[in-house]
Amino acid sequence: MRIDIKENNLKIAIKAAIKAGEKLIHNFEMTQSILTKKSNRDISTKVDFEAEQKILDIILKKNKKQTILFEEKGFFGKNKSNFWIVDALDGTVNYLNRIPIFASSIAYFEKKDFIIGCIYNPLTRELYYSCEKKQVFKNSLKLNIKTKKFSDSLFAMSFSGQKKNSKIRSKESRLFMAYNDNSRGCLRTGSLAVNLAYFCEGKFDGCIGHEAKIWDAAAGLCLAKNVGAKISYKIVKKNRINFVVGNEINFENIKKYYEKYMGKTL
Amino acid sequence: MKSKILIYGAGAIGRGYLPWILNKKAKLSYVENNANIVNFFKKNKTFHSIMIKNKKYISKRVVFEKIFSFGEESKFLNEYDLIILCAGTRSIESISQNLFSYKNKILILENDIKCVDILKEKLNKFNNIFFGVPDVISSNTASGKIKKKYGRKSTITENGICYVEKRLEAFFDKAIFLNKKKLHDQWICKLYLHNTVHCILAYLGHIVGLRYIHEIANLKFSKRLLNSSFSELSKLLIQKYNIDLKTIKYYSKKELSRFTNKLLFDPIDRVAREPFRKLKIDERLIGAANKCIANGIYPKAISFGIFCAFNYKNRKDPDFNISYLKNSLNKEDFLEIALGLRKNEPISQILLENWNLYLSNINKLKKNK
Repeated sequence: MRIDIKENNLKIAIKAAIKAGEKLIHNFEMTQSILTKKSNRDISTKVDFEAEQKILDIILKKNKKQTILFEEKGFFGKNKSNFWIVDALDGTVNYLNRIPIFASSIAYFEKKDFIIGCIYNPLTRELYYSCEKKQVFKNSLKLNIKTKKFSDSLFAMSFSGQKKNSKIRSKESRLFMAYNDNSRGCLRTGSLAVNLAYFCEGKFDGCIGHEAKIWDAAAGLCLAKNVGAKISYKIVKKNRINFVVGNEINFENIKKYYEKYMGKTL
Repeated sequence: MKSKILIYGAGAIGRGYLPWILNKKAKLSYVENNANIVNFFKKNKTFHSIMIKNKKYISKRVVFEKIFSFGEESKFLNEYDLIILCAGTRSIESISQNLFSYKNKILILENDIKCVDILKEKLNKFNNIFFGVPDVISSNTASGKIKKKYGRKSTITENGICYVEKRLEAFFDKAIFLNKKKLHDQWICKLYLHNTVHCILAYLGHIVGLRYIHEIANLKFSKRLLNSSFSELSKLLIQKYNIDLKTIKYYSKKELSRFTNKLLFDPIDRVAREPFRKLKIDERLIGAANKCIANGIYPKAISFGIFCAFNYKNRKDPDFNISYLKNSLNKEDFLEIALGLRKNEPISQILLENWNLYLSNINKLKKNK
């Protein structure tokens, strides 16, 4: 994609994230009605749909032929190789409980790569965005990757929604504890987009996702790639992704632990 | 004294100005981040610096000892009697990592007095770190004519004055040595009467599409803006810093003649670079405006200058993202997300109230250019 087109798309992503954020803030203190409940943890509220609609309106405003993969609405449009990936509210459970760790996450996927990433937490007014290598920003600040060794690292991991599959659950738990016990710790924040944004900022030193949803991870993986992280990922099922992200020093160990405990290569 | 001096930053001040004022017998070496400059000067250990004196160019051929790329110098640091830092305020943190083992004196000639405290704290050294204020405009991009005559890496500088803290007299042939209080007054004059006005002009010049400061400074509209800026800042310097009117008048006059100097070729993009740094709340633009407001002075000209900075768009600039944010966010969000200014702050209110007026002023300027 040409740089001027990338920049235009980044501006669209920023505008859309801000608009969705306004909706999230407006409803933050209100009681949310749960519309769908795939599990106790995997829920959607009315505000998820309303914020998605805001994003849809902005993306389609200039070009009605765009394709968008939404968390709630699924695919919108026909182009399955170049499309936007949107999660209007990543961290719905946190949002419902008024925990300020949630974000709108918008990415553009082209030729099997994440080209544009934008993550916005409207409550803290933290806006992370990038459309070029070594050009990842939080608000006005340019972000640079930090390098820490594995034992000094703080990690964030997100689990799959496979709570009924006890085998996978048990592997994930052991992996989580392995990271936790051999480093400064491993957290589960409830928002994968925020995990990856914090990684780019140097708050986390590595992120791990097993069967994560693509719309939660896409923008963050784009930012991590552009900030210069080491990344391995594999799209595993429909819209699911396994990944590990780290720095030059700790990456091999992060990956080794993942492969050892999950029994899967990345 | 045959001292050895290591200069971080082979740019406008390091290459262009310091060779004119340091002790003639001193052996100079450089540390530079820009690989092109390092490679060029590893092959040619000499360059020309051109000074504007009495409205004429005079040249000086400078021969230096060594040039290191950043990091290469660390083993040799203690061979040097003095280290001078003039590589840009953003590089202070990374340079400090290399200076832990250094035992001699360090002079900071960066455009921010806060660098002194940052470095003292980082190195845990409090007696050997000094500050200086080079009151000079110098440029590492001389005009084509000069480059043709003296080589493409030649630099150009004014015949400025360098104010330096006492105890470094032995290293200089030409500098004024002041105690901390007087040096601080010089810094304040430079910060506001030079830095603030200089970058307002640069951002205005960028919008109008000009290349050099003197081109914008000589326009009728700019002269009005310059006078208003000087007037607001002069009131601030008298009220807040107790600096006398005579000094302020002298300084303002000197700055005006410097900005309009047609021989200087001071590039607008050099002065306007890193707009987010200049727009920090304690820096020369918003910092100056806030201080004016706190002292009962309405910063009309300065706030227009701030607005001009929002419109800086240069793909090569580290703060190029200002254009992403300016074009994506509405004005209130831009102030808060990009600059950390809440909409109920006085400076935000001034900017928001005048936003459309500033915009139409800029459009008029572009049309009449």
